[in-house]
Amino acid sequence: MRSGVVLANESIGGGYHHMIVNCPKIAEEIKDGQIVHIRVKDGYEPLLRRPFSVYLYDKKAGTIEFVYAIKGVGTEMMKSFKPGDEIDLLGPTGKSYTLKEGAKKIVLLGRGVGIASIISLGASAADKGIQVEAILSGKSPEKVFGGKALQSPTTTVNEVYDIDGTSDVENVMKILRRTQEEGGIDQIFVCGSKRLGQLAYDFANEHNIEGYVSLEERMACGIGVCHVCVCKTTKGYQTVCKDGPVFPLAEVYG
Amino acid sequence: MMERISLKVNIGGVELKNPVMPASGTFGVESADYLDCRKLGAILPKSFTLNPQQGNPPPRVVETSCGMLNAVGIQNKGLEYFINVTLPFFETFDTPVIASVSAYSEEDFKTIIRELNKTKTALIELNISCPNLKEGGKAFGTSAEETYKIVKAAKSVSEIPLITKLSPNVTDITEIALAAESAGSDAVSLINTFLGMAIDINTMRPKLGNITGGLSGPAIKPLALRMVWQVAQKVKIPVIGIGGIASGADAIEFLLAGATAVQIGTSSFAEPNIMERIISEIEDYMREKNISDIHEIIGGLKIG
Repeated sequence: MRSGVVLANESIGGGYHHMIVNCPKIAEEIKDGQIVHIRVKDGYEPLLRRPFSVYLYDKKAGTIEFVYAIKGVGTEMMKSFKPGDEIDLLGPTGKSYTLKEGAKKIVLLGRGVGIASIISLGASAADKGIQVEAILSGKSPEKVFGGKALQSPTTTVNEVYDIDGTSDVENVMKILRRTQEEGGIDQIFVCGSKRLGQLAYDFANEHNIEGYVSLEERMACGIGVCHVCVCKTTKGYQTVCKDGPVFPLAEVYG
Repeated sequence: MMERISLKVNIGGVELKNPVMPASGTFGVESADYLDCRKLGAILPKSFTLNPQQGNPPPRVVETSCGMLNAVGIQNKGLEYFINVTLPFFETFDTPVIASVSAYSEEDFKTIIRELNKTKTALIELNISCPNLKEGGKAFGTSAEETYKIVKAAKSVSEIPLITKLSPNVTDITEIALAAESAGSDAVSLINTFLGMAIDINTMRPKLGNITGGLSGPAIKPLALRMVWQVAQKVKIPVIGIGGIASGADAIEFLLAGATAVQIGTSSFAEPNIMERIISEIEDYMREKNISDIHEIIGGLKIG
């Protein structure tokens, strides 16, 4: 367990909060796509930690960032974290996204709060000069975030929404095909929607592209002991906290 | 300065350096990254069955008021994995290892115990009380007659002392405890989880994939404490108290009620090193009260 100090925790609209925490130990260890488990409050209510993917990190500054959706008791309490508050963190845990050696172009597909999982990977890829095609999906513009954090000369951000129909399977598929035609995609990473996961799997399968999905489940221990956060895979039930959250697309959709 | 305090207890002839150990299903090799296993009274890795099993369909967890429901169904890699991987890993900590065993038949229990006889397992906990297994635990642990039969069978082959883990989902837990004792169990541990349920009113469906699950956590502590107290009055063998323990004070309540040792489960989820804290809080209490031997606390409840 590590102690972190809240530096900022503000609403960014769309029912999301953006929190920055100083925790040099986690910042040092964290890899793209891994999870950190936050103890919302001492005592028994709520009893369990809340798992979040790390949205961005800065190893030099020793900071990690989260974007979380206000969904229940735990996140409702987290809204009241103020700069200077000390919080109890466990992690990082789980498997990270891995950029393939020599990858030239990757696609990121994120929807809703699931977008938080893929942004740091996009930033890491851009740092390595890898071309990034990001498709960020949500019900409406205020439900989509992270575009700014991805800004780089080698990155293209496509925001797609339900309200104007641009988040339709057909349109997302069109973007994927165009990206593929402009030069082969080496890897696809997806988080936040079963429908997008299925679509990514179908596309990756068709074009023989390596693909990964990050999953979300309710957790208890967060370290792989209790087996409550399992998901069904081709290898049987696997824990999202330790065996995941990142799985090959074929293990989940195959 | 008072003399050195002793937290040593004895379960079935096995000396434990203190009375604190994990509860089944909440501790594994991963836990060793978060606490010092050498400090524990005993190490008790997650229950295993003869063959690997997949467990129940998700969702497997629901958080409740001061507690949680789980319906894991003992997902595990089986006896062979326990003997070849789990046990050798934990044997390096110089702390007794307790094998928590679950099975679907008398024969399976015997097969597992015969294999464990060949290992350095210090104690065996017979998990005949998991509420999430359709055939296994439930059938055995909820009837005094079945409990007697299964413990007798296990005892007939075991060269290792046995602890029988009891279910609270019964009319009179003392009857089951007495059945286990008369069948030769060297200790009883109680309680396993309470069978519970939660419903999503929007989907109108159960929140757990298995429909029902086991309730654990601080919410069940008073119920567990009462049962431990009742059983401790009736049996002569050591009682291991389990149920919502989340502090040294909680552990001491169980010891006062008659438990010789305690198991910590759900509380380790939020605080993976909580057992170390509980041990030091028990020591603090003993120092404050000028108690040099933990046996002065065990069964020390004053009534009237």
